[in-house]
Amino acid sequence: MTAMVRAEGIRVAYNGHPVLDGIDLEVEVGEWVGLIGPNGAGKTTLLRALAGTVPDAGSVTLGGRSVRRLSRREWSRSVALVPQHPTIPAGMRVVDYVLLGRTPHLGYFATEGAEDLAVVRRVLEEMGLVALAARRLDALSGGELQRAVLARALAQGPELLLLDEPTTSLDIGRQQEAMDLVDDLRHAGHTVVSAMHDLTIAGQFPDRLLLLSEGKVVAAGRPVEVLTPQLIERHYGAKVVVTVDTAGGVTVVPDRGLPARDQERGTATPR
Amino acid sequence: MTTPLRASALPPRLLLVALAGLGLAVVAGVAFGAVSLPAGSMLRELLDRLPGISVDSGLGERQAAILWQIRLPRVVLAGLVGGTLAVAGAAYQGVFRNPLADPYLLGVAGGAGLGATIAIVLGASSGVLLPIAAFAGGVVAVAFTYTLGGIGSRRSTNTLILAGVAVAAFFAAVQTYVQQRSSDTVQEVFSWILGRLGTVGWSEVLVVLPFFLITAGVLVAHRRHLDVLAVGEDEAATLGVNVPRVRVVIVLAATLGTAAAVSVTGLIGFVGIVVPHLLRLLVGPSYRRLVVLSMVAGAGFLIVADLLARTVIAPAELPIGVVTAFVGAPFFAVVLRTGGRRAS
Repeated sequence: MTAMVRAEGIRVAYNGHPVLDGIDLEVEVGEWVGLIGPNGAGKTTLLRALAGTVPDAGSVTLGGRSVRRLSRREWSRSVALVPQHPTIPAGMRVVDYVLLGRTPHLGYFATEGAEDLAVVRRVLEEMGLVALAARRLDALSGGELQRAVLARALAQGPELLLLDEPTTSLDIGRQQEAMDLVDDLRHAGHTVVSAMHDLTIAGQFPDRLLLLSEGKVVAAGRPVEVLTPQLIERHYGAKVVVTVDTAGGVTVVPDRGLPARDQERGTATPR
Repeated sequence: MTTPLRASALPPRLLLVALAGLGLAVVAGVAFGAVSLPAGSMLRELLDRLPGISVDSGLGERQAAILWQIRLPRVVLAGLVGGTLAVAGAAYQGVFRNPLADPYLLGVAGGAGLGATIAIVLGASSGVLLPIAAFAGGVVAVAFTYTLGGIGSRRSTNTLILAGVAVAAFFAAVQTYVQQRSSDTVQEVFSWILGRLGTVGWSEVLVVLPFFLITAGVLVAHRRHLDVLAVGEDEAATLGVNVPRVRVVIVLAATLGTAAAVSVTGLIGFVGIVVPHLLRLLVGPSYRRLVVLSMVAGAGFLIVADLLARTVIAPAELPIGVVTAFVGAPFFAVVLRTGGRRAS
């Protein structure tokens, strides 16, 4: 497989304080890479650098095209970002909101045509939102809203989908639903990079993980290679128990050091 | 699965209703006053002026003069100013994502007030010098606000709004000082500040018209951008919008129109807030509807307000700014309460 996204030497500083300090990243077509790391590690900033909204962050190319050579509009036709806390315009209808995703495909003074409506219809069907198309955004449930935001991103027709903490504030059922949707999108040919704070979800869905800490990549590889108790303790300052299932999925839970937990693991030590 | 998907464009039917309302306001504004003109004769007189049509209106020479030289320019100017203030208000509210934004937000009022006061103190209470001084003052104040608030930068829009507050306060202070130094002109200054349409003729209409056309054209062309900006600067940027540039263009267009309106009529408050908000309750938040409808409804609103200003205590006239606030504020409060209840 060929590298679809290649980022080299990404450096971003806010007020002289480095947020990203020389990040290199390659993502292949159809791959799902998860960004993990403690709060303030630079996950969101890296996503924004890939989205091209951080000026002079470094070299980012997409299928050989450089973010520096393309206009913001051209870049937005290939790269879509779903923010962690999207701004939800009060009173806007779902269909109008998703149509905003067609912006990079429209001329400066143009409005949407039949083709754009066809794209939006297809995306709404994929996200199961057709019946809610005329509904106001503020009348949607948390899971529906998350799908509407994802639909807007998909309406951009992106090759690369950037997701910032896509499961924040969803219950476990909606978390699973959202992650399964992203997994389907990836299998339909989208390339996905997502920032994730839930390490068990990070251990179940992405192909590869990048552990960021203080603006640097401190570990990279398959979830089993990155989600080790040692790495997590060193960078998150947390004691955890890590379980690996037969499919290669990883579960991470806090270790309270209770004897009962130790017995379940079969590693009880006499105190 | 065959329900048609439609974007929130402006339905022609809605536009026709609004235009019909505006037409009624124009007819009423021209017909009523110190001398009432029969509506039928008036319409015939207007028709008579169209090329290729000749009908006898039955209006006497004096009545025709009232119609052409006094009523019509005043109604047209009220319409242009009302439309400009309303659409500028809608645009500011969209760009700054702040429901309290009004056309005077960035210090136009303070600057124009100072310019007008200086002109009046220097003895230019009529003629072209007053509007020119007011326009210059407004533009200078807004230039200060932009420089202070750094509109072209990536700084937050709140910085710009706060800069506008500071500049407005400063210019108001200077204006008060100038006014205190020559107290014999206080009444003239106040009558300008409260807004006036009483002394206008076609020349004022010609002053405002080009600015109105620029403002209207630019804002109508950017109505979709205003919808995109509703998701915030960062997200609009990921949708391929050059946010700082679009923001500058929209704000400049709205400010230019406001400055021109203020320069000929003084400060007419409340139109830029009331009209867009009422329309939001009626037709939703999409700027594809709001921009055009704000112009039409703002024009109608100010024509009716002016009609009330010159008939309620006839033969004397109320300052139009008093009418817009006196009628607009309570009406707005009632609609917000009932509309808010329906929405929740």
